[in-house]
Amino acid sequence: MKLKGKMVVLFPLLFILFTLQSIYVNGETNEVTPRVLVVYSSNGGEIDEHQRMLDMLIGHFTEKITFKKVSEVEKKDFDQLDYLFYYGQQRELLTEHFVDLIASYDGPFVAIGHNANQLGDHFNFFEQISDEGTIRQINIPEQIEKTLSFEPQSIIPIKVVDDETKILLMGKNNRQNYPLFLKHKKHFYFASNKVMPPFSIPLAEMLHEVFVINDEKHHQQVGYIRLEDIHPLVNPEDLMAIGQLLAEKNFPYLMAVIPVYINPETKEEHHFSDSPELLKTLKYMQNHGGSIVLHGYTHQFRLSETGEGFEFWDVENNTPIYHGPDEKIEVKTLNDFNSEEDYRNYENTLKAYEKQYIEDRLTKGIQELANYGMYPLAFEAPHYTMSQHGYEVTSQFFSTYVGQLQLSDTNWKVMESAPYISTPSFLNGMTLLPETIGYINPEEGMTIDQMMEEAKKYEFVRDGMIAAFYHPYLGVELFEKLIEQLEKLEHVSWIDLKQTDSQVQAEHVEINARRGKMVVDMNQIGLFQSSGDYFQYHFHQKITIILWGMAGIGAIGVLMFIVFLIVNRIIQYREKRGETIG
Amino acid sequence: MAEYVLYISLFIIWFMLFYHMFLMEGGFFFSLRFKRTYDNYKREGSTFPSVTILIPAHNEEMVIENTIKSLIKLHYPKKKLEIIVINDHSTDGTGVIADLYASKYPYIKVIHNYSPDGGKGKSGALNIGFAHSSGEIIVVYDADNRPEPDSVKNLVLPLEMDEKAGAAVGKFRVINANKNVLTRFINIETITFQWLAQAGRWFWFKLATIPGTNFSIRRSVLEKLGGWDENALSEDTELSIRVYNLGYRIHFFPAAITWEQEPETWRVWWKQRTRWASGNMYVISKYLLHFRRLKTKKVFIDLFYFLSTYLFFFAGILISHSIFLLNLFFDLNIDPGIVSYVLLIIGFLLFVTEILLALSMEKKQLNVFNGFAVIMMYFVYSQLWLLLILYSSFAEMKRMLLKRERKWYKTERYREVS
Repeated sequence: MKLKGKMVVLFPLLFILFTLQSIYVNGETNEVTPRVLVVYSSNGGEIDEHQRMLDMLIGHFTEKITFKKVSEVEKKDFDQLDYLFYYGQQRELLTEHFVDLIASYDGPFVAIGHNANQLGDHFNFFEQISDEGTIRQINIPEQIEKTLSFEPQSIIPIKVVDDETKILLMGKNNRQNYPLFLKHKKHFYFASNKVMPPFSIPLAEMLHEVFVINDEKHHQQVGYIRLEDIHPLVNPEDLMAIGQLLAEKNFPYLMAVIPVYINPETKEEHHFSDSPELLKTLKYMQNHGGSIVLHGYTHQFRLSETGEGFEFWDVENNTPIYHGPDEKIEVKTLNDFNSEEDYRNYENTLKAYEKQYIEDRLTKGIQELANYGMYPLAFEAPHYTMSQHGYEVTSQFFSTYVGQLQLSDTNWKVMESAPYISTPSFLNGMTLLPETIGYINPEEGMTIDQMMEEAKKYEFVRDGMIAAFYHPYLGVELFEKLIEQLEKLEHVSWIDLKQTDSQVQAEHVEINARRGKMVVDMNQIGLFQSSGDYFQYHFHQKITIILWGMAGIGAIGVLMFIVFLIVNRIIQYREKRGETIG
Repeated sequence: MAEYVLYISLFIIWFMLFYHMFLMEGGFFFSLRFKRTYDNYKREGSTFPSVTILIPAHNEEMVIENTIKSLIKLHYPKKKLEIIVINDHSTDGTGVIADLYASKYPYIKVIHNYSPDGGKGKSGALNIGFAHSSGEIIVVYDADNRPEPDSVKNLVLPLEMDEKAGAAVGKFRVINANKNVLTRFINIETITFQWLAQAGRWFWFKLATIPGTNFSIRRSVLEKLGGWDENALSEDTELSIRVYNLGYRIHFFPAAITWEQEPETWRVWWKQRTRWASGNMYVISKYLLHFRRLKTKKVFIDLFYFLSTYLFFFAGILISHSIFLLNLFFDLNIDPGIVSYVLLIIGFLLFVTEILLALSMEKKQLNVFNGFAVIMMYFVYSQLWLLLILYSSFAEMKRMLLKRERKWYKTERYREVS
């Protein structure tokens, strides 16, 4: 009896203790990074660019995103879950197990695309009205000024059947309106199975409603301008003119720097140490608003020109870098192997090659720039191409990634940008600063006006990104025109990488950006040991100063002796005169 | 790699150039001050201590008479003067001429040394002379010298006035300076050596090197040292180091002037200089290898200087020359930039201005003719010096390996045309 009595007291106490603890923990995670589960129905159950696009969109709000295909979802996936997404990219008969699992879920629930009618009672506030509808425009009914027009896109035509449902997005065709994004209590539905642009932009805006974000931070549009392909043969004068213009305007910016230029014909390597003037310019820029982004090591893989070639993708075979540039390559598939295990082993050796390749180049790139006193704060893959595995490797070096993301491992051309800053799960902790409005291309016609037209699209998102890049060889005049247009976007806050929380690390080098400053921790001796070139650079710098110092002292000596000589002549002349007079 | 080697050689070369610059500056300051010092010494006057002049002579019949004649004209109380000519194994008329004068002048003595084992070479002769000497102060002249009348007085003066001075060194001038290009070069070289190396070192460090002739040394010092080292080819350098080591200064006193003959052919010049070079290498190896025996660490300044001249500086120039030549034929990937040319030009200008400054300290030496000679010297005479050191290094190494005995080569003399 006594024991039982004690148990009765103890149990509720323990219970309260545990719940308090979990509430406390939950409270904290809820605020910072909510946990999101995305269950998807896709072609063959594979994750491809569509899921990754959604990853980028959700990644704006959290980095704790888990993707599961319907058949793999388990009960424990719902533990401590803050948001549930269902992405019906393909029509699929959902498993009973999954339907059962979600029946008891009562948190925020977002469904996208097909199969929403199979999600139990959760989504019975609308009905599909026909097989297909087409829209040319999207707007937010409550904010008339926000509209987005595009080429006709197909959607899932639905009608609302519940009065408590809010239509947050409306798709439009010439005469017809289609509800596109619905909110019903904690349930949200997006009536398109595509999340790729142009849908990514309105969906990005809507996700703010889902994650109930209303603080000021998320109302500020951000942007950046990036000077592209700065390699050792870039003309320092062009660059300096741009750097000075930006410094005058107090305009922060990024510089995509390639440490080595390789001449495709002679195979000759050019480093920044070969161009002291350029180095001086880059350091000036780094000290006056510019932040360095490592843009590959050579920006080429096979013998293509630096700045033209792909460095982290084998374009000829459309595969990641799995072999040396001159090796003969056979692309093997599962069918070429006796067992799946053999195939996996084969895949692992390829991946190990890729890992080593990327690690080598990133290490060299970071070390070489840091050795010059140029401290990269982020990474941008040449032509934005890199495999998923590549992103994983890169995340060990960089915390910030700049540009667009390749979303497929089988085709480099499949790349997209997020409409806002994001930490998609496939970046493995890296933050993406997406590039959104392109660059001036005088030959193929992308003009400043077109770029500004693009920029308007991103104003649809409350904290959308407006980011462009510019090739410095086009000159300062054209750049000035671009900057003047960008400056007109008064609501945009321009990103200064040094103000972000970016970290970069490679062997012997650690760079941290914090509150406008760069904290660099370098093991100079270790660096010198890893490559003689690093020492050579400093040696040359010092030695040139010393040699000039020597020349200076020597010149003073020469002048001194000339003066002495004159003094001697004067003395002798006086003595001679003294003799003749005396 | 080639690059690092080039830089190292550049640094060594320029270290030496700066050292020379520094010395030349000292030499200039010394020259400004010297007249007053000399006047002060003269005012205080000399007590004329007893002096023995040693003249080692080996087959000197061509020059010995003129030398003795100049000595007779010396302004020094003859009672206090003893002149000893050491006729060292001469096969010519040297002994006869010396004996003739000895019979006329009581203060002149001749020692004929024909002993088969004793006193080979200059050091040996000097030791024999020293053994027969009685003066408180010993003065040495080579047999081809023509000291000016005041020279002995002026060699004694600094030893009287400067009690820390163990020896005093005068200045020598070239009799046959205008004979040909070579003697003109040597003349310029000796003037520069005396104002840069001797006066400069004296000004900064109270050091000078005994040049083998026209110097005075206290008897007490020589006794402590046990005379000259008979193994040393350059007995003068060797003696200097031992004098420093006793804690004495060697006073540079350019008011004591002697005139001497310099080689008139390149062959003779070559033989004389290789002897000096081997001799100095002997001194370096003798003292540097046993540096712990050195009590006065100041000597290191000089030893290091010798070492630098004969080893480092020489190696530096040799390397930079060879890199320059190699670079003409192969791409060594060296690009030190424009600064290397600037250094080349400034190095040349330093050479020229230093020498011109030294020439300006002597009467009538700074003239257009000598100006051209200086420029020529940079390209001809200085480069020959390289070959010379290379040659004597090999010779000295060979000698040390084979443990051969040294042979003293006596510089050939020329009959004066007066």
